[in-house]
Amino acid sequence: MAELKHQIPINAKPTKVYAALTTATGLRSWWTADATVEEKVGGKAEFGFDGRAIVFRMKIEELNPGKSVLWSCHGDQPEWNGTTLTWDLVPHDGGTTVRFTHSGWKAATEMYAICNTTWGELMYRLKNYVEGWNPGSHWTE
Amino acid sequence: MPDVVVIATAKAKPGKEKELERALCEVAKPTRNQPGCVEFTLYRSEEDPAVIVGVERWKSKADHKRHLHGPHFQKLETAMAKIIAGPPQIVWHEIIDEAAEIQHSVQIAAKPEAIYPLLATADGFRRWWAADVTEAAGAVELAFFNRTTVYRLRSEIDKPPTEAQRICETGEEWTGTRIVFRLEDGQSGTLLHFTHAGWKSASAYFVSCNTTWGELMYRIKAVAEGNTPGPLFTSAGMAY
Repeated sequence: MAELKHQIPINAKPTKVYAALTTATGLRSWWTADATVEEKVGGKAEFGFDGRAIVFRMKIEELNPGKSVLWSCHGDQPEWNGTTLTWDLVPHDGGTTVRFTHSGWKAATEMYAICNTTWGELMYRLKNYVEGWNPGSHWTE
Repeated sequence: MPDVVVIATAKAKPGKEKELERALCEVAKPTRNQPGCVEFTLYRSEEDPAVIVGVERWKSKADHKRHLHGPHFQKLETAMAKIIAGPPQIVWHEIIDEAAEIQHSVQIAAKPEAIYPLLATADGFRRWWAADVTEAAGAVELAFFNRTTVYRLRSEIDKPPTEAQRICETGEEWTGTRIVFRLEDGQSGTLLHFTHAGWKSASAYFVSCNTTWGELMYRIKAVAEGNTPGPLFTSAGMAY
């Protein structure tokens, strides 16, 4: 089992970061323009990339407003299937430290390394969006 | 000095299981407040409910020894004498370093020959990594946040256009770590493989650096594909 871990400080309150992770407007502003999300535990979230050539389907397992979000990934992408994605928001110096873990990878493959890189870029995009710099989403369709 | 981990095992006499638990629980809190105590947790064996294991982490062996001679432990020893089936086992452990490493990969629409100079020269680093890069005595120095952090990289392997390897000679957590870029020529461009190896542990800074390397890989990609993202680190701070 392998996991990907990321961490970034964001100069904004946890509630603002939480909105960027739990609302369609938020998720479309840094990750992919093709994002839908139900804002409730047990709800679904879908993220489409490259004209829906790839779709990540998530179930929202846990929502702790302002504190944490937990998704589980189902179907389609075999390496992502069965993985879990955890977002922990820790208040720090008037801002927030985001701790992200993508766990349950069966092996540290090439795809794993590529996703690690993209998560790094996405963390900076999330930061920039929440801090008001409008970076746009990584995937535009 | 690395922390030490102590695993202490005690077994209650028949019928004295609850008493042992009570005696140990009583010292748990005062033990955690001892100087140098990082962790103190009690566990009951599932195989033998009479056995309780204490897992303790201390800043040093000396801190643990001081605790053994302190009033809480002395009191515990007296109380335990009547309820344990034999002398408690106390075993010290050293912590094994995980020798953590960071791995990234990114697809770039450019030939290895065009990408290589970005990864192996001061001029290259200035275009995506840091604005303050200088060459000194056969090494390259990258400075961050008004030179409060300086990483000096010495060339270990230079095999253009397939591999550049650098050893870091400065920085609290970076000293002795190895930064490796490998370029794999493919049909749809180049696959850039990156490894930052030799970290002593997967610390919080290690995780932050993993994230920042991800952003930097995309900056290398952008430069190689003809864009001008500029360096992520200005001489005084960060650019965006």
